Amino acid sequence: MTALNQARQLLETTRRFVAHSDDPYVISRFGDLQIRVDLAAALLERVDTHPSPVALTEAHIAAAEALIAVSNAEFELTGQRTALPSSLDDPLRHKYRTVGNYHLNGVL
Amino acid sequence: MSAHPQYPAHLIRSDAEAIEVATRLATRFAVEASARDRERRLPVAELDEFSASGLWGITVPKAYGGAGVSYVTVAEVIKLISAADPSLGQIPQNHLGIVDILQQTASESQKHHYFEKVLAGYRFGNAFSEAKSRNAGTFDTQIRFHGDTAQIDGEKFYCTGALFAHIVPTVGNNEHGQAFIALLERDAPGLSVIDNWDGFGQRTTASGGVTLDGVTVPLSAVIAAHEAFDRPTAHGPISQIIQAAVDTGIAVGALEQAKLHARQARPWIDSQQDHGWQDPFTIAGIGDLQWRVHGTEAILARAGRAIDLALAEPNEDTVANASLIVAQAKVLSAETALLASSKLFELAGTRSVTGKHNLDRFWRNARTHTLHDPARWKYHLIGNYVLNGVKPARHAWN
Repeated sequence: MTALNQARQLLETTRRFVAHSDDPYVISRFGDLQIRVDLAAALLERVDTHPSPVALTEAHIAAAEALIAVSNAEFELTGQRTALPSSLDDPLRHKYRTVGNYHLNGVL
Repeated sequence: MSAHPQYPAHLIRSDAEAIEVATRLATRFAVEASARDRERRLPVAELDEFSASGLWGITVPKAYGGAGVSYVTVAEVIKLISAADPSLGQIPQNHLGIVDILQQTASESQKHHYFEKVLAGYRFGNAFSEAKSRNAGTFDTQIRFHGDTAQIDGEKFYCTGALFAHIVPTVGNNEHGQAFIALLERDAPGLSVIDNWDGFGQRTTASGGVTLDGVTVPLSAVIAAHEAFDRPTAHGPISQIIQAAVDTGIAVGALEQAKLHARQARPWIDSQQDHGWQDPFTIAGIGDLQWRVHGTEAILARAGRAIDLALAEPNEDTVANASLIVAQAKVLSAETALLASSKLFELAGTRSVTGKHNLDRFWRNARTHTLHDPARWKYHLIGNYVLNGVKPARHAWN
């Protein structure tokens, strides 16, 4: 499963667990998470219309960050943590370099 | 400023032409943007050029002779101009809002009258907000109807654009607390515009005060603005997307400067590189800013599409959806503009803070303009829908 789909699914299970809240901090937490997930989705859509060779890498960063944010919120709001798949073979930290090197230096 | 435009406006006929004109103007406006900020030199000539370009008329519906462009295009135009000079990007904010509220609430004859003026190059300012009322949504300014005229009395602040306007739309409440807008001639007796905006950012918006002392207008110059929120319309999201577009433009402009100056930075001693642009942390820092700016632009475009849908099919659901996505654009544009305008210095080094570059204007502008309405309540607005199924309240800030 892609990181974006996993983030969506974790957000949904966390939402179902909380179900309803009047706590303004809990409510706004869900607002933030929804933004992170939709931001990743919008960048993935952008890949289809944008010729940039690093557009997909940008979408991957957004999805990875969204997943981390949702996973942290899952733990905070449900007391449980669903294990995430390993990313040892495709480390997030190098994606920022890929995007930066293209946009700063024109290097792929 | 007289009540009539000095130059006739060009008629823009398509979305593509609007983008093309905005791109060209932005290049010109960028040249002296720093000097205008530094000297707080009001952009009088630039505004004449801006409104004469036809860009202030692009949202006039096709049925009234305009191009009726998509709100994706409106947001892109404001973003392009704001990347060059966000004061110039902000000044038409309320003008565009008024064009929409006319479309939502004015009579047919009012629409014909005012849309014709907009296409001819007339600029609307605004006298909406008040510094002394209980909160942003309450107005102490009164409108009282006497036969076929109305009289307005009150005191306004944050009146962006009023100083440069030909017509100053002014909000007042009737006896029942309902909001009306009177479209006052800039030179109407009793209307005074005070150039007292001294904020540290958005310095050349002239967002100062307006006083209204027994200003009298015919009823043909009054619209029942409250109707735009009594029923579901796209007016709130339209007002908000322009805010988000200004801040997205600031982020784009700041990132361009970050790249330009990071390329020129000296290499740090421990990096063992020959040039600053080879620094692995600088490269990753630019990468982080870049995906955030692209993501913000993508959400801004989504918000524009949601507004187009809410305009085409106005109902509770389409308007709520437009509010929700515009709120995302608002959060992200504020966050990205503040981040890019601060990281710019970290990536470009100490030489970038020297006065000659005036690069602090990006942060000053971002910090000032993002205060228009607090992003912290946008997280709440979105979360309250996601978690509790509550649709956003309808007002000019959602």
